[in-house]
Amino acid sequence: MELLNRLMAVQHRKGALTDDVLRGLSREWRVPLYRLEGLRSFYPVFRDQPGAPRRLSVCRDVACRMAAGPDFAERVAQAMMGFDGIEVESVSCLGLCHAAPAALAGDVPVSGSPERLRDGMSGRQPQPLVGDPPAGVAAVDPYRGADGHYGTLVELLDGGRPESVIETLEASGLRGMGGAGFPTGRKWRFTRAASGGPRTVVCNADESEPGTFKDRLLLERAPHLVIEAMIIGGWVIGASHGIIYLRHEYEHAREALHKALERARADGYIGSNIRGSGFDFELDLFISPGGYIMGEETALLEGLEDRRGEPRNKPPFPTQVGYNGGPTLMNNVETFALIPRILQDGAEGWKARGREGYSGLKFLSVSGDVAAPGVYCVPAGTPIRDVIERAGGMAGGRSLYAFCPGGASTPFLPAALADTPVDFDALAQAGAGLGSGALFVVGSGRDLLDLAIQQVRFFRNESCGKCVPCRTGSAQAVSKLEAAQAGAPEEGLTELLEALDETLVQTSICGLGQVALTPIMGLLRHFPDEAARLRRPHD
Amino acid sequence: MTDTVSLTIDDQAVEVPVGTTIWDAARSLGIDIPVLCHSTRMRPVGVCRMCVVDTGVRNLQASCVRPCEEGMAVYTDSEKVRRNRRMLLELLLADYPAPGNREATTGDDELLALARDYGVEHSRFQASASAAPAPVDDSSPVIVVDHAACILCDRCIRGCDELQHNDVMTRSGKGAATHIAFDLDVPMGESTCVACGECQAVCPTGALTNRSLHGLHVLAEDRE
Amino acid sequence: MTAIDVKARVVDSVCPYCGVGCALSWVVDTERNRILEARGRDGAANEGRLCVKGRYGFDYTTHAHRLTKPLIRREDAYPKGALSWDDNGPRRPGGPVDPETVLPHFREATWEEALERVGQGLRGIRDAHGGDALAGFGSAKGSNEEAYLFQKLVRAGFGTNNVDHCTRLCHASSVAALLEGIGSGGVTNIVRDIERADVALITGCNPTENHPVAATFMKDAAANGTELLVVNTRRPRIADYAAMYLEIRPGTDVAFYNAMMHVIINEGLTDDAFIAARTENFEAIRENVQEYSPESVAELVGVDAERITEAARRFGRANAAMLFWGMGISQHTHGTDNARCLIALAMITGNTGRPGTGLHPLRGQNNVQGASDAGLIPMMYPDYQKVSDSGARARFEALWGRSLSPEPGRTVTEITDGALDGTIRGMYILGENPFVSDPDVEKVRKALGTLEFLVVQDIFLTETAEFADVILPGSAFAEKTGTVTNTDRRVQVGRQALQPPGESRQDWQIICDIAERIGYPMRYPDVSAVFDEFAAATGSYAGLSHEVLGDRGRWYPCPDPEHSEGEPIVFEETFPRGRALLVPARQSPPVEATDAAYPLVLNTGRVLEHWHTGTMTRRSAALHGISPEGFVEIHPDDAAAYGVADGGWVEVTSRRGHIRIRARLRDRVARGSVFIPMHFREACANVLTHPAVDPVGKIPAFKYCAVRLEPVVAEDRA
Repeated sequence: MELLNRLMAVQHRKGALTDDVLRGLSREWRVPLYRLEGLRSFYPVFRDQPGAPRRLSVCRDVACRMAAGPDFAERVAQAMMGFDGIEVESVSCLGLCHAAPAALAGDVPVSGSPERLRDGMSGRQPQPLVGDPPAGVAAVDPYRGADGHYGTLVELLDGGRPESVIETLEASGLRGMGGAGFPTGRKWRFTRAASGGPRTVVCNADESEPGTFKDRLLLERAPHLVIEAMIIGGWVIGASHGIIYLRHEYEHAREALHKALERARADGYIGSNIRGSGFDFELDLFISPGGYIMGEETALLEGLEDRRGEPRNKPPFPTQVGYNGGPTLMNNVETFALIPRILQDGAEGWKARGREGYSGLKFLSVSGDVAAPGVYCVPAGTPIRDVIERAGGMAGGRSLYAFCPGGASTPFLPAALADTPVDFDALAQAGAGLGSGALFVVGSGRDLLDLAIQQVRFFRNESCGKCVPCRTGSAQAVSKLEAAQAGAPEEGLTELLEALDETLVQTSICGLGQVALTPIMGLLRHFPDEAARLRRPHD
Repeated sequence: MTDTVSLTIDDQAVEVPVGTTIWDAARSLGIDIPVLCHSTRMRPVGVCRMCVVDTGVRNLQASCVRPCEEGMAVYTDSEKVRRNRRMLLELLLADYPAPGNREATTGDDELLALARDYGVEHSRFQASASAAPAPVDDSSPVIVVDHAACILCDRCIRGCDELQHNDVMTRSGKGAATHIAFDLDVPMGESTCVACGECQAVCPTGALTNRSLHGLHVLAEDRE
Repeated sequence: MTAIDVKARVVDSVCPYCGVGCALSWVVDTERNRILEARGRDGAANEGRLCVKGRYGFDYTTHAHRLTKPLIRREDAYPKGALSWDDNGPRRPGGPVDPETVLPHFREATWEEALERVGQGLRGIRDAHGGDALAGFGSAKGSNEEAYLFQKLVRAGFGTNNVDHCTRLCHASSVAALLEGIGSGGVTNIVRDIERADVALITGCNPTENHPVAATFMKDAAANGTELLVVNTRRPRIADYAAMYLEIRPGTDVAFYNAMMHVIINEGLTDDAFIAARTENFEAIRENVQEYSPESVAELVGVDAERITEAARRFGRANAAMLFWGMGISQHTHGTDNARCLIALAMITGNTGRPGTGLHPLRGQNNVQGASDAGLIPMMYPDYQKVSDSGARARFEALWGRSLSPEPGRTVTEITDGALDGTIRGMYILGENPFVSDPDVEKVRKALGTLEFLVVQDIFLTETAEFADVILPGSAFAEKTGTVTNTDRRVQVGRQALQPPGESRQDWQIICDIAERIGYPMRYPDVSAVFDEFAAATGSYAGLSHEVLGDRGRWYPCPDPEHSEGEPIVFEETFPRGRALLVPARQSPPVEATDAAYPLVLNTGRVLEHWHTGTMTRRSAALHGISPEGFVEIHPDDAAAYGVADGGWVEVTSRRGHIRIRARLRDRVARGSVFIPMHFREACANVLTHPAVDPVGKIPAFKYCAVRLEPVVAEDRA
C-alpha cells in the first residue's frame, strides 16, 4: 500500500510519473526503476506524460454503448474539438449504468449527449450531473438512525461468541455477492481456523464488472454497515487490521466512507480497546490505482502489497495465505453490508425474507432497456421478469429480447427464461449465474452480437497479461470476432472459438480469462440467429 | 498431521512431502511434464500454462505451482490435456518470428521443440501488432532482444531480479500490450543492465540471445 | 541471412576471473579454435550463475595481440625502459599496450634460443651472486600446478625463497592476521553459508562489482531474512539490501570495530563459554577497547554513536553471525590490525565453527587461495609450512632433492627495493604486471629498468614485458588443464578448451623447460602428475586428484573425497593453533594524511567489467565496449567546489605523480574522497598511490593516499 499510495500522491501532485520523476523517486526511496516501471505501466491512474488539465472519461461498455452507440466516445471527442485543455478518453464501465451514456468529468459523474457534455465541460451550461437512482438500502439497515449504528458489534463485544457469528452466517446460507458466490460462513470459519499472521480483513470494494453499481450505492448510503461487518470480521478471525480496497472512480463513496470511518473512530468503534472490550481494530481505506482485474481477490492482494495486480495461482487461497502471507478474510461490499441485518434477524429470520423457499435479500443493479434503471433490493427467488417490472418495465416500447443476469461474466439468456428466479443455483441451472447481480436488459431490435463482442472486448481490455491463454486468447478472439462482424467470418470460426473457450476455461489462472469468451458461448447456445452471423453461409 | 501425501500420477503411486508440486512429484517418477516458464532454478510462476494436468477438478491445474494433495489422481498426458496444450502452442506461435534467433543459432528453441512434439505445425491465429515499442532492440553490446519472440514466460525477469538481483527487468504494460522491459522501458543498452547474461541464458525462445552467435549455425555439441 | 555452419563441442571448466570460482562450460568452435559462448554450470559456488566477465569476457584468448613466438630484446633496445608508456591523458584514447610500438624493440626467436638465453641469464646471476640475487613473481591467475612448479623452481632451482605473487597486494595482511590468530589463512565458512546466518557483516568490500556471483547469494540471503550490516567508505550496491549501512571515514576501521567490541563486551553480549574454551588473551581485548566507546570514536569514524551501538547489538545478539571482508580492510598500512579486529569480533561472540558464522576474507583472484596454498609466498612452503622450520625444510629438501635456503624470501615490494639497491639482479615474472598493479609505478619503472636480466612469460605484451630481455609466449586459462582453488577452498579442474596459438606453449611446460636449462630438471608425464606431487606435499589437499575432483570439484580439506564434497565449515572443535589468539589493535594515523596541498583521500579499486591491469578484459570486445575508459569518481559537492563537471577532464596529483582522467560525479563516494579504478594504464591509479606497506603483511596501502584535483583547462585539451 505504501509504495502505491506514495506514487498516487505524486501522480496527483505532478499530473504524471514521468521518467525524470521516477528516476528521482528511485534514488530517494531506494526502489529499483524496474519496480516503478512495472507499476506505472500497469495501473491506469498513472500516466507517463501529463495530460490536458481537464479530462472527460467516457464509458465504452454495454449499457452506455447501447444508449449512445458504439462511436459515443468518438462523437464526444469530436464535439470537444476546439476546446483547449480538455482531453477525452474512452474507459471501461464506470458503474454509472443507470445514467447511460455516462462519463466522468474529472471525478464528477455526468451523463448526456456529446453536445450536452461539451456544454458542461465548457461552462456554457452546468455540468449534466448524474441523478440518484433508487438503491433499496433501507431494507438491510437494521438501525433506525445514526445513534443505533454499530449496535450489533456492541452486543457481540459484550459477551458474544465468535463461533456463534460463524454459525449464524453458515445457517443463513449467505454467499459471496462479488460474483463467485462462495459460502460466507465457511470462508469465515476457514480464516478463523487458519494459523499464522498477520491476520487481515479486506473489503473488496473494487466494483468494476460492467453493469454493476450496487456496491457504490451501498457505500454511499450505508458505509456504516460495511465498516461494522469488517470490525465484526476482525473480532471473529482474530485480526486487528482491516483494509477497504476502493475503486478510484468512486469519489462519492470515498467521501462517505471517509466520514463514516472518522465517526466510527470518534465513537470508539475503531481503534484500540474498542468499547473497553480489549479488542483492537484499525481500518485503512486504500484507493485502487485502477483496473477491473483488481477486483480478483489475489490481484487485489498483489496491489495491496505494491506489486502489479496480477492474480496469484491458487491454492493457497487468501483464507490461508493472503495479505502479506497471513490469513485474510476478504468479502465483497454487499456481503459485508448484509451481515448486521443477518445477525439481527438470526439465520431463520433472514432466510424468511426470501421468496418461494429461497433465502434472504439480494441487491440487483438493473440497467439497459428498462424504464427506471437503478439498484433494487429484492427477495431471493423473485423471477427476473418481476425485477424488470420493479425497474419500470421495458423502456422505449421494446419487448424483452435477452438479459444478462450477473454481469459480463454470465452469458445472455433469451426472454423465454425470464421466469428464472433470482438465485445462484436457479440461474446456474438456466445456464447462466447470479454473478455480481448486474441485470442487463436488452430489448428487441438491439444488436446482441455487437454487445456480446463488446463484453469480450472488455475482458481483453482488462486482462492483466500474466498468463498465456488470457493474454493472447482474448486478443485473438476479439480480432476474429471483429472480422466476422465486419462481414467476413472465417471458415470454422465457431468451432475454433469453442476450442479456444475450452482452453481459456481450462487453463487461465483466474476468472477473467475463464469467462472471457462466455458472452459469445452464450450466443452460440441460446441465440441461433446471432450465432449464424459467426458462420459462413455455406458452413 | 502427516508430513507426506500419497497420490497417483498417470496411475503410478507416489508419496511426497507436503507442499511438493505435482510437477516435481511427476519428475521423481520420471514423468516429464512440458514447461516453458518453469525452471528448476527458479520460483515457479505458472504463467505459460503448458504444464497443465488433469486432477479431476473443473479446471486443469498448472502442475509447476499446484501442490500435491492426498488421494489425488493426476493425469499428465490425457487427450484433454494434450488438446489444450496444442491450443496454447497455437496461440504462442501466432506471432512467433520463426525460426527466431535461438533456433537459427544454437537450435534449442524450447517453444519450437514443444510445437514439434505436439505436432503443431501452424497456427490458426494471426500475428497482432507487436505490443513492444520496437520489435528488435539491439542496443546492448552482448544481447539482442527480439520482443516479437517473447512469450512473457517471466524467466528473464526472475533471472534478473531474483537470481542475480540485478533489478533491471520487469513486465511493462498490461494485457496484450505487456512486454518485457528494462528499467523505465528504455533500450537494454541504455539501462542499468550489468550484462550478466542471465536473461539470455534462461530464455526459452529467440527473444534474448547472444549477439556473438548471430550469423552462426552451431551444429553439434559434443560434451567433454 | 546465410549462417555459417559451426561444429561445436562443449568443455566444462571454471571462470578465469575472480575468486568466486564459477563453474562454466565453453561452447568451442574447434575448427577456428575460438570460444563461441560461455554457459553457467551448476557449480557449488554459482548454481549456474555467471557475471559479465565470465559470460562475455572470453574473447581475449583469440585477440590479435596474443604473443605467439618467443621474443628477444634487440641490442639497440638497451638501456631498458618503458616502450609504450605515455601519460596521454585526454590526448589519446588509451587502451592496452599496442604491440606496434613495442615489437620493433624485440626480435622473434626460436624456443631453443630463447630458453637458452633465459637459462644463461638466470644461471649466470645465480652462480655469480647467489640464489638470493634472483626472484620470481608467480601468478594467482595460474593453476595450482603452475604455482607449485614455479615456487619449486625458485626454491630448489634458483636457491632462494624470493618468490611472491599478487596476494601481497591483496590479502597478505588478512592472511597474516589469520595465521597469527587461528593458524590458518583460509576461510572458515563458504560464502553460501550466509544463507544460514542471522547477521552478516560485509565490510571493506564491494561484492556486487568484485565478487558478483557471491553477491547474488548474499542478496538471496538478505531477501530471506539475513540482516546485512554493510560497512564501507564508498557506498557499495549491496548496501541497498542492508539492514544497516554504516559509512565510516577512510582509515578508521580499528576505532570502529573496537567500538563495536566495546558495546558487545560492556553490554554482556559476548559468548563467554566460547571465549573460555576456544580463545586466549581476551582480557587484553577487554582492556584495549575500553577507551573506544562509541561516543568517543563517533566523530573520528563519522558514524553516530547510536548507530555504532545498534550495529554492535545486532551483531552481538545474533545467534549466527558471519564476517566478509575485502581490500578495504587489508590494503592499509594497518591492514593486519584491521583484520585482527574482525577476528576478535567473531571470536568474542562465538561466531566460528558453526553454520552461518565464521571469517570469510573474499579472495580476489581465481586462484589466489590455491597459489598461496601451493607456497607461492616467500616465507612458506606449500601448506603454509614455514621455510624457517627445519623439519619442514628437511621434508621439502628430501622431496625436491636440493638443499633449501632457511631464510624467508622477500616480498613483492621488497623485491622492488632490492632491484633498486642492486641486491636483486634477475627476475622471472610469470603472468604478473607489477608495472601497473604495484604502488608508485615510477619506482617500479626504475626497478625493472635496473634489473640485469628479466624474463617475462605472458600471453600479451604487458607494460612489464617492455622491460624484459626475453619474453616467452604462455597460454591462456582456456588453453590448458589445471586446478584452481576458490575463495571457499573449493578445488576445481579447469579443462583445456582451446589450443595455444602459434608457437605459444602451456605455462607448466615452460616452467619445466626453464628448470631444465638452469640445471634442475623437473619432469612430469602430464599436468595431473604435477597435481599429485603438489597434493602429496600439501596436507590440506591430501586425497585429491584430477580424477577425484571430476566436474564438480571438492572443498579442501576433504579426507574422504569418494563420499564427501569436503568441508564447507572448518574448525568446529579447535583451531590449527589450538586456541584463537586475540590480538588487540590500536587506531593509528594514516601514513599520508590529507592537508591543504593534498586535501582528498584517494581510494582505488576495480569495476565490474575489468580485471586488474586490464590485459585480458581490455582486449574483450564486450567488456571494453561496456567500460572503455578510466574515471575518477567524486562527490557532486566536492566537484562543485573544484569546478569539475561530470565527464570533464581533471588532473589528479599526489606527491608521487599525476594523471589525467575523466570525472564522474556520484554521491556514492563520500565528500572528501575520490575513487579511481586501477585498470587503466593511461590513467594509472598507481602513479598516485603510496608505496608504504603494512609492517606485518607487507601489503601496500592502495586504499589511502592524499591527492588533489584540478579541472584541466580547455587549452590543454587541444
